[in-house]
Amino acid sequence: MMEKDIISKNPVMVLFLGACPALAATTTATASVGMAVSVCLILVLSSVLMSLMRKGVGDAIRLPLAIVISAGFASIAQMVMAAYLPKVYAMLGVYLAIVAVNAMVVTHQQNTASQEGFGASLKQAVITGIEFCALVIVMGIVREILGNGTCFGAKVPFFANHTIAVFGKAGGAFIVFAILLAVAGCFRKEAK
Amino acid sequence: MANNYNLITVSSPHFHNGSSGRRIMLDVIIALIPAAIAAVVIFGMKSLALMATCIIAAIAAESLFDVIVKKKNTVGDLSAIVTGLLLALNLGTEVALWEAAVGSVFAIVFVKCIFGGLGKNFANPAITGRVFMIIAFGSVTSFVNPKCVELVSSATPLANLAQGAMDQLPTVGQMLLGLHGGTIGETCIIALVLGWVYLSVRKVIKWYVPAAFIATVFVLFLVFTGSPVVAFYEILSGGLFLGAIFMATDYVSTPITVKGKVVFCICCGIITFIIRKFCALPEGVSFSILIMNILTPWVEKLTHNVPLDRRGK
Repeated sequence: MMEKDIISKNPVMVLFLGACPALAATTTATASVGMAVSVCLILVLSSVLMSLMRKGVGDAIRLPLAIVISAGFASIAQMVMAAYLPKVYAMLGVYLAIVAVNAMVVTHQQNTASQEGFGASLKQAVITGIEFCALVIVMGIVREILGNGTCFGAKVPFFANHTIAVFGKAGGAFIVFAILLAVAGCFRKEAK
Repeated sequence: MANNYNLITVSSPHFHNGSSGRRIMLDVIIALIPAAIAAVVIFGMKSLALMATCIIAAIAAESLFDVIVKKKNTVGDLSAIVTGLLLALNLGTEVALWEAAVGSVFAIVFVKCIFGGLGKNFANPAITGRVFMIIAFGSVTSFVNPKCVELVSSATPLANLAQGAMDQLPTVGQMLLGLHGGTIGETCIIALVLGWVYLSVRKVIKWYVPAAFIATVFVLFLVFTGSPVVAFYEILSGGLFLGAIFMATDYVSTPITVKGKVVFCICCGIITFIIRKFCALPEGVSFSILIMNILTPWVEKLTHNVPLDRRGK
């Protein structure tokens, strides 16, 4: 069930939520793993906090609260990364900070964490996080191999001598994203 | 009943001159032959290898795509060959063969096939393939002089013009024959004009549509620099003739009406002038055609033919 969900219910590929980090922070495999893990942690932690606070929060304050919570965890993630993984931090730059307003995180808090109980929202957050991770890491690996000829910094034979620089740039992100969407669409069709 | 008569009822238009998409593509290929021969003569066997690579890659990509999406093979309409050939003519000899193949596959798959095949592509596949390659590979924008000539400058005429180095420009004769650096298909103006004449005689294109593009660039440079010599060199250098004759006249990605086509070409000329004069890039023909391809629906809306009884309403 999980494997099917990664493709057919992927938040980025079906709802286009969180497409910004998926496009911007996937220039290399290392950066994409850093981004995937931090978004995952921010998603899970903020969802847990939100679901614990859901009873005392009215409708009017829910969205600001959701953003404050995710911004808080995004800042923590930023500081931790700057302290322990400065290289990855330099790669991600501003994109780590704007996870605070990541549509996927905020939507999840609005729709799941603030409606359902602790266990249910934690489970949903973990599933969503893994789905996001899978896509972002695949994009990062594909783009690094095609754009730079390396994978996690190690040279890949053949591709090292045949780099297509555009895949390391914004245009290539959209091309890879589009191909993955098409492949996912193909799988979805067959699943029906 | 109807079988008793050799009469078939069809809707208008009733006269057909026998032309078809395939025939038009064949005409374009024939019109490109002089430029292709000139490319081999001027730039050597590397240009032949480039053309072969691009055409083979284009045909292979289209066939493979048709197999994957379970469609009837569409290579027979010859448009893949035209795309491959045009893309190759838009590349310099510095481009590696595998890079040319990647560009060709991109042009066919991502610009044409994904949108539904010939007739449904939003932009000219060859020009988009070239723009993709400009972004993807540094080799596309670096040129060397053909080995058969000795020139003062190793830069292309456009680079010379941009720097104002008038004394380093090739002679007009060299410009017309194409004996200077550039992409393999764009330099030989005489061969391109032969193709222009052929396409006009075969009524594939209207002769004044490319002329509108070239004239716009000439007039704008004449007005701006006040020097007919500079304006003349500007229209002879770069990909202006190749783009105006073979790419700005593409049936699919340009407006339907003649009025629309002329508006399209004039806008292309203006954008080319702006890019050449005010931007860091020396050449703007490919970008101008791509930008206008994207704006074609808008030009179409402004220039469609209004039936007589609706005019003025």
